Amino acid sequence: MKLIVLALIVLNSQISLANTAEVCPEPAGQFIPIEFPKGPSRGRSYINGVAQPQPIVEMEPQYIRVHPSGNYVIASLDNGTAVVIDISDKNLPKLIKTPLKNEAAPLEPSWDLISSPYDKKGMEYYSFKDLISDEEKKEPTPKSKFSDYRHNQYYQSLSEYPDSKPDNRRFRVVLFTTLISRDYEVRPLPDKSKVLVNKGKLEYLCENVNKNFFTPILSKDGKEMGVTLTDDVDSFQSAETVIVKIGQNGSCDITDKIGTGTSKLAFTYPEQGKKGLVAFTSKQNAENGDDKDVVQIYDRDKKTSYNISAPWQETTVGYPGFTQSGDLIYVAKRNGTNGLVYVKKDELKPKTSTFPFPEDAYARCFKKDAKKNQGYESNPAPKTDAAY
Amino acid sequence: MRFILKIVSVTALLCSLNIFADDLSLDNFPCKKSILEELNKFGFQNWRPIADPSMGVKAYRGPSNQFGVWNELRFTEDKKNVKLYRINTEKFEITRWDPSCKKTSEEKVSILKDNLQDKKENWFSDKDLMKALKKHKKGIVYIWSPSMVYSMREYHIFKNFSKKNGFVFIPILDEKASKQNAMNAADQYKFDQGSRKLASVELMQRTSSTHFPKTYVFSNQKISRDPILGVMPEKTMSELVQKKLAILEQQK
Repeated sequence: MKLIVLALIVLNSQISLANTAEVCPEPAGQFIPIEFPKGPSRGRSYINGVAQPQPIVEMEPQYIRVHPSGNYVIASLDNGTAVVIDISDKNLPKLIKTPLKNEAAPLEPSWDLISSPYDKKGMEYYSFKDLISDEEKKEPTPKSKFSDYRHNQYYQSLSEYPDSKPDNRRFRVVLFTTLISRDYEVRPLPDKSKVLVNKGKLEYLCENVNKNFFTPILSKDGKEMGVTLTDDVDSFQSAETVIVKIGQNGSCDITDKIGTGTSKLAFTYPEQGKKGLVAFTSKQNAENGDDKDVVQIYDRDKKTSYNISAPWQETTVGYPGFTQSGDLIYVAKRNGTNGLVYVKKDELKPKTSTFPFPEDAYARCFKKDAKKNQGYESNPAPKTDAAY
Repeated sequence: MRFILKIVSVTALLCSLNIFADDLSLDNFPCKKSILEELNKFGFQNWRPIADPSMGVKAYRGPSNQFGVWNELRFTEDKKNVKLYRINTEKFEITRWDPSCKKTSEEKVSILKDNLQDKKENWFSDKDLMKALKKHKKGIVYIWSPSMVYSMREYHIFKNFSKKNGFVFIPILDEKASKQNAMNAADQYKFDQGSRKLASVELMQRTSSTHFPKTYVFSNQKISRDPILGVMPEKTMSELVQKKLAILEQQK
């Protein structure tokens, strides 16, 4: 009997050792510190009716869009402008000034054109090549290829049709409010500064569903769309992220329900025989604090989600996007430093642990003072080679 | 007598099941009795699923029966390992059950407690929300962010809608926003700079969506469980507000 008790004690201590031996896991991916441009902040503050000097602040990234190569990211900044970040050398990211406005969004999947809403002539369309080839210049000189005054809103999404080609780009642009869509055909002209544009009629998507949808994001192949379904009469929830398949006549069929409200979705590039992944940000209570934003993946084939970002080490995260090879890039702030996190495809896996809840593996590391442990010890930010 | 006791216990069981009708039932949880005992300390209602935090782990959030106290329940798919977060402005309690139903608990300081002690900012807490609910018969709580352009552009539409329809309008700022960005936004879009920053468990825990604006409707000291998310034409907004009011009316 004593032997059995002794054996149980030894076994128990080994299990405890196995648990305590588990180190605090490092967050997935490579953190790329980015020194965003500094400048006088927008607007003015007043004290007793007197306008105060505008402080010089670092422009924080608000949204990003990820190039299929993973070498570029368009970041909309909180001063209402957008920059291209060249991260082809992750140790020396370069900022390229552009004429793009807040919420600039690319034509997926080619990135031949970049749309910029509420520009001088409405929604303006720039050539991505023009934007990055002008990087040596101090001023944003590229001119837009064409514009559309009427079909013009923030939160736009653009995706090409399967028969789209470099000499005839055929695509759809969906806008935020009531999912108004317009088709475009864009052909380059011999004078390369100009294009021939054929604009289609404005039409509503998903009229057959008869529900309130918003925040549309088209899939890379344009056949699907991630949307927020709000106040569905059949649902007890008032906001749930769903994926719809778009029919030929603009009708929609709900195919995936994420089960909860999230940020806008980012789709992976199509892969034969798989529905693929979507990435998003949503809120959850984390071990080092309540109500944190966390970057998550939803596996559409397995119908389950899992955390990617490390809520115990990143103070803010957001706006994940996939590269063509399946890597993921998102915005993060670690130890007060803004940057991007680049996660390779093979790292996009659910965290595993000997603990039933993987987050408990690192929970022990942050017991004393949740607030002090929010930071992450990263290498000092290298000087950014900015075009400013 | 035994028959009456049986009826009472079955009724109690049905009531408890009914409380979990929003997609969460504790049936088949080996530690159901102990979990219910813990949950019943503050009560529980209106669970909503949040995205699975890890493969094979489900999570739900819901309010307790006490204002300012919320629950988040996580469990493995086999329901043998369970974790309950109980959150209020002061603290963050974590209770765990292992497969043998052994219960362990720990407490942490809520980030909100630190925030509320930071007097450089003007915070909107659960106390402020309670005051507003008691003071005003009906109102609209509008949570906006300088990082979401529509929440600034449409601020006036929500404000004017509130005024026109007899709702008090309470604007609240995203807790992550910098003071400078908020002032810039107010200046650019011509609205008051007086929004307080979000530090209310009741408002923060109500949705897992990161989108802004989030709009809550309150009436007769009750506030809508779920937000009206995003911006919309005034007609749609009016319909959604009416829907929220009808749900609140049913809760009387």
